[in-house]
Amino acid sequence: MSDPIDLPLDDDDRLAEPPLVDSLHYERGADGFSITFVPSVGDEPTRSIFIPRDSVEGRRVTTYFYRIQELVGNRVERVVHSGGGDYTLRLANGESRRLSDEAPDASWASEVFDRLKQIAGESETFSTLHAGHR
Amino acid sequence: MGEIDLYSIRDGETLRRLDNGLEIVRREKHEWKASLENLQPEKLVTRTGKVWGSKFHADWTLPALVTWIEAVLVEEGWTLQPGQPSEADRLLDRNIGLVAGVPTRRIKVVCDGRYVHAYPIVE
Repeated sequence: MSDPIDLPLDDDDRLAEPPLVDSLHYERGADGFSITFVPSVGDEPTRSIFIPRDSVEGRRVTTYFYRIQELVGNRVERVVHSGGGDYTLRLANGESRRLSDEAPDASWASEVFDRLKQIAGESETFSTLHAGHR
Repeated sequence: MGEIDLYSIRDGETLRRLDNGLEIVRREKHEWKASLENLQPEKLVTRTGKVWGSKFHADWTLPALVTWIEAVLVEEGWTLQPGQPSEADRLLDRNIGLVAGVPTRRIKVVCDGRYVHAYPIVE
């Protein structure tokens, strides 16, 4: 029997709790990140924001996003939440990679999830700080 | 050339690219799955909730959904505006899906300025 999958896909969703990135891509012309996330507070199912790269949260998101690209070994064009603790990453070479397809061999998958969780946290902070200023 | 089978398009990829530059993308987490039909009620609440995504009923096929979203985009007059998100919702005259186990008639359309998708929300 193979080892358990080291991804937050447990039935209780304990680890895959909001805030969660719902979708994410870097918008080159506008130089920032278009992010839709599932907030941890409030009734909205998702919230969409744009975080300029040259902002406090944008610089942190840049760091996490670069790390994800490093882990994947390619430029990431788009990330979408596939439900629970699973994500699909669309790469610049045209390939798609789903975290759940990679486990349990790919140890990078759980770190990608962790970095996306951090991006979700930055998104929520940015959204809260800029509420009413959009 | 025949029509593209939209179900061959992977999660998060573009189902239709509009002339105005917007792209309608596939979001599998909001699609109906046969496995949902045999779930215990409490499990269905979780699997159609915030973390796993609300679900369209099976009759909302990808071709139907894409056509519907495109009509909403025309009504709203949205065009490609990178970095400027928009959203709109519509109340239909019939149930279209489940949100946390509860039937709903309302759909939200979300555009992040470039990519567009839709999902059921609470009434």
